[in-house]
Amino acid sequence: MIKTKWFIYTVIVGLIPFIVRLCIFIVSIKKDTYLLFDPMDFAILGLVVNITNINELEGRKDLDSEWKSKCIGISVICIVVYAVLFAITIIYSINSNIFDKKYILVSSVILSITSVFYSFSIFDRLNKLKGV
Amino acid sequence: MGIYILVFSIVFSLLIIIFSIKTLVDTRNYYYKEFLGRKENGKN
Repeated sequence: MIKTKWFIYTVIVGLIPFIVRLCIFIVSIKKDTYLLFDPMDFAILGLVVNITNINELEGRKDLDSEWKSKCIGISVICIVVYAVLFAITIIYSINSNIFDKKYILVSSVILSITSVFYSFSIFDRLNKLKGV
Repeated sequence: MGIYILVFSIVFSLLIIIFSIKTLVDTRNYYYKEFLGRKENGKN
């Protein structure tokens, strides 16, 4: 149940910017994939997922404190990385000569997929512990 | 500049993936141990 809620409330909500972009892409006459993928959307997904991790772990008393601290620490580092990525995308939108969009997009996609997997591993443990 | 961001994101992602896989394996082991314990006590 926890994992289902996590998927609906976190992953789907985090993917809303991308889903909106996808809907616009489907209904648009000129199909330009350049407009479909934006690094900012994936940075938002990563931020949402990691903030949810911290929120979920913070209130739990029944977990191994060392593991919990590690998870929260990694999530905080991830949030910092996503904040930097977010700033880079904003700078890119102002001046597109500083960064190459292709690299930033690939980086943000890799990081967001990793964050979803990381969050899945945390919620898998929370789900299993509740089931025991 | 972009290539450095890409390399950093790949290395960082690999570290997180290793930690995630370790978490998943530990969870499976813990859950299996609990299951065996319950089975031995007849609470299956």
